[in-house]
Amino acid sequence: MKYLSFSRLLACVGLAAPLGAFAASLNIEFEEYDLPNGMHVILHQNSDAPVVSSYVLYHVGSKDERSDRTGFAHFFEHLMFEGSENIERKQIDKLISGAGGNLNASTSFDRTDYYINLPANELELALWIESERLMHAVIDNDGVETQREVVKEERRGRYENQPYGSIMENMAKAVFDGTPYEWTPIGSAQYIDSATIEEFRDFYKKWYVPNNATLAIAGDIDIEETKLLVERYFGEIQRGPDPERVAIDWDLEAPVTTKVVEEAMTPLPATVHIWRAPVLTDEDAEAIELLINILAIGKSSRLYRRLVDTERAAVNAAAFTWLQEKAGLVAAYAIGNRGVSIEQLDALVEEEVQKLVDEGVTSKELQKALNQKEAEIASSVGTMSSRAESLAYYHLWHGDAGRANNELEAYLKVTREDLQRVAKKYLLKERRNTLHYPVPSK
Amino acid sequence: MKTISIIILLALPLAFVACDSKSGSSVDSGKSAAMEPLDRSKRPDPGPAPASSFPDYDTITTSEGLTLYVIESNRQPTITYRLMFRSGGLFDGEKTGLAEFVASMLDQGVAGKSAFELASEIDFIGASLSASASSDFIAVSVSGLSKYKEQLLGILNSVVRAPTFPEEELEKLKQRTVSNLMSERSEPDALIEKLRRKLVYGEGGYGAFQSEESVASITRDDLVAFHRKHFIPNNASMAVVGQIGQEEGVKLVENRLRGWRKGSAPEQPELNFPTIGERSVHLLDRSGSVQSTVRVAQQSVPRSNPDVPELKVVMSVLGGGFSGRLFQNLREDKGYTYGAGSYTANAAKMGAIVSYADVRNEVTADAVGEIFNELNRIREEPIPESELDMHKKYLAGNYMLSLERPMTIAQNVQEIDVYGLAPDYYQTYVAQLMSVTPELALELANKYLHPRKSLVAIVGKREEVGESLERFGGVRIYDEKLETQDERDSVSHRETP
Repeated sequence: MKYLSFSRLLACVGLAAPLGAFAASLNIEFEEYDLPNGMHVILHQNSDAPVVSSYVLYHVGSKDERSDRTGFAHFFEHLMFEGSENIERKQIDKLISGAGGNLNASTSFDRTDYYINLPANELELALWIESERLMHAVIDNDGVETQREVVKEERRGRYENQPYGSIMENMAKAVFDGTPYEWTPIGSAQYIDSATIEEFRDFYKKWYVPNNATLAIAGDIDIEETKLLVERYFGEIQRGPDPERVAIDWDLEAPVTTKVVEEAMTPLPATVHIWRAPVLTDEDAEAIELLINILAIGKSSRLYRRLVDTERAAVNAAAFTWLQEKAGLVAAYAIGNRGVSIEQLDALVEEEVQKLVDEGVTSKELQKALNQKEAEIASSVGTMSSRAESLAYYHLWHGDAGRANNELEAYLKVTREDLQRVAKKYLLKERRNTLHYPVPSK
Repeated sequence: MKTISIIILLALPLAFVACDSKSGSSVDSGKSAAMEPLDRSKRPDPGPAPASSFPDYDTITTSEGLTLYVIESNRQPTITYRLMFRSGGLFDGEKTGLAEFVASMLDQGVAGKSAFELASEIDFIGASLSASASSDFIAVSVSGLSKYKEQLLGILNSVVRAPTFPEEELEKLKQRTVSNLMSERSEPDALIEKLRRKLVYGEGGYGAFQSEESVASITRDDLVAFHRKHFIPNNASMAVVGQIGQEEGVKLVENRLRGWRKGSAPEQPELNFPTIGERSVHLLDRSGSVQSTVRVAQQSVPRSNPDVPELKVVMSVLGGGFSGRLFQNLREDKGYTYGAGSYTANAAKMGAIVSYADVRNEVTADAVGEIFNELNRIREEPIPESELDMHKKYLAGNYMLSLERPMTIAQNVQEIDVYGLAPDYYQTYVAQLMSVTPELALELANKYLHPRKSLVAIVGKREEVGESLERFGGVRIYDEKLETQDERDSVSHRETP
């Protein structure tokens, strides 16, 4: 039996950190350098299997959009599959399929990524495709028209046609209001419809420059030869102006909101409690994550134990963090059993959170959270694709790809006192925003 | 994200030398090529094709009759134990969902430990336990850090051998399950899957699904009886995957499972399937739908049919990945949908072939028409050599890439066991893919694809799409409990005699 959870609705735009990075006991060797045009390159060699993964990370996401042009970054991700000056329209997919590989891409608030996995002898194909789309992607009417329709269907399918499908947009609006995080990567169809081809080209020129990109390659490669190939394909691409980014004033103490979302298809009552949280590089980030895990991960976690098991009030209860580049939130939610009132769910979640504030956690709970973190890190380094992604992630956000090798250390520094301190700092009731999804009366 | 539909690949060749026939003549493309100016107009030549082989594994049978595989991998410091029983929902009998209940109840109390005590133990070492039932099997696995390899195996051992199935926990599970059933009635993906299965397989077996009544009927005695009959070592295989050697793995498992009593392996139930004579159209009316969830489905061969690898190539041309015809037609050409494709639903007794797309209301009938056009085209016209070649390489290459994941390897070794595939299935798999010619593909398409005996299943808004679907035949309407008007009438008739 599948248990109802919001994770599917929340996970699909690539908000979370990769469950990546490497356990302390593994040392993933890599080399990194900048090309003269500013592109950052990270190479990891591993010959366990004859595969190679190419991962290109652009530092542009939905928060870099104008408020009257939301959905641009994600829409652009679709256009990047259309073709380039040297690759005919609609051929990128087929080139990769015919080489025995696979590819995809995703867009979040802060970044857009593109990956290609191939048999190791086809590395150059990936470099050709990625350099072509960075250098001179073709942005024309045909591609734009089709993808407009495709993206509208993506929006309908993922969000509008699903129960609780508006949850992500409502959370962002509640907590990030007044910042460019208040809209989500899928954006609004109307803006994509009203944008001109020139605007798409301008977006491309501004953000798709080598000095705004990280290229990570992992797999069965020869490092020296790969350096030559990277230079050969990407070296000639001109550096652009460093993109100017809008400053974001992230106020942790802004006024709170409550919203009742009435939707005809809501099957069970649900409540979401949301608090403003710091940015992902903040010194409190690890403590917040461990605290949320104590609340939410596993059947012995506090929310599951209380709401699902002991009180039998909820079919599921959990919590999660969304720490972004320039803003952040944490949320706890419960989806009630049939007939349970939202007020009861609210009271139970509130009590469990308040206990963290008032009493902190036990040392056994802290140890449990650290052990869970260790296992999570250890079980996410198996594929070349995950390694490339993790190295690029730590380079972009922490300026230190090597952090992928010692991610656990930052968590091991966290103390019980830290956990209670961050609970008091961020999870106070008066800082709480609330979203309700009542079941409509028929 | 672009889309999520990629053919599910079955991994593990014993010696697979990849796929480009020209690769022998192309030189190493690195340093030598770097001397010449780059010609961006041409696709770069691949280097010499890599050889890849499936890691050696032995099939061990323990003295208890358990089939055991150890797949060593040192990529990450973790270990997974996965038990797969050759019994699933097909053994539910009258009580649909019984196998799923057994699986869900395994960790809700074991000898000497309550559900919460066990959960605390699992969580404390950062382990994860999963147990699920499909129609053909029940899989129970425990994963975690390899430094806890003995504890992890101990957890698995206690949940499969000594579950206590407490009444109180069963009541809680029933309550949650009923809530989930409510929820599923508003989820298009859950609804379409039930409708599709009901239509292809009929009421019982693969077509059965839970209801409030079936949930209420399940008792603790049912769980105990199912467990006693099916959770026996000679009805299961176990894969040990991760940072552990063959010898150590075998020893560990043999020691821990010693004394697990054999039983008589349960006899597989006989199934009856409906005969589908002609095309029919079925619409589940979901008044809030802003998109139609479309499936065109037919009955197909069991997983063990020897043509399955070759048929996979035909299916890939039809609807595999981004380069499949359905994706190219419905998305890239028409812009009807975000994702479109086709897949084979594997099952031991009877599979299904399913084409899918979620499309906006106003193009629902046109999308169904295009799916039929593609089903007909692949039966009428030979697949061009270059297109066929691309899909063979796509399947073979991705199959090789999947070898990167030891868990996939283990799952596929266990599939040989549970579906009764030929022992050398994966040794010959790539050769079978590569053997498909346009002539053979045409023959297979005509033999196995049956658009005239296909069922059109849709979850959508009747008011907006119902009429347009009539061009494919009379439309039967269902409600969110998957009942037609007739069925509702007959139910109320029975209840009020």
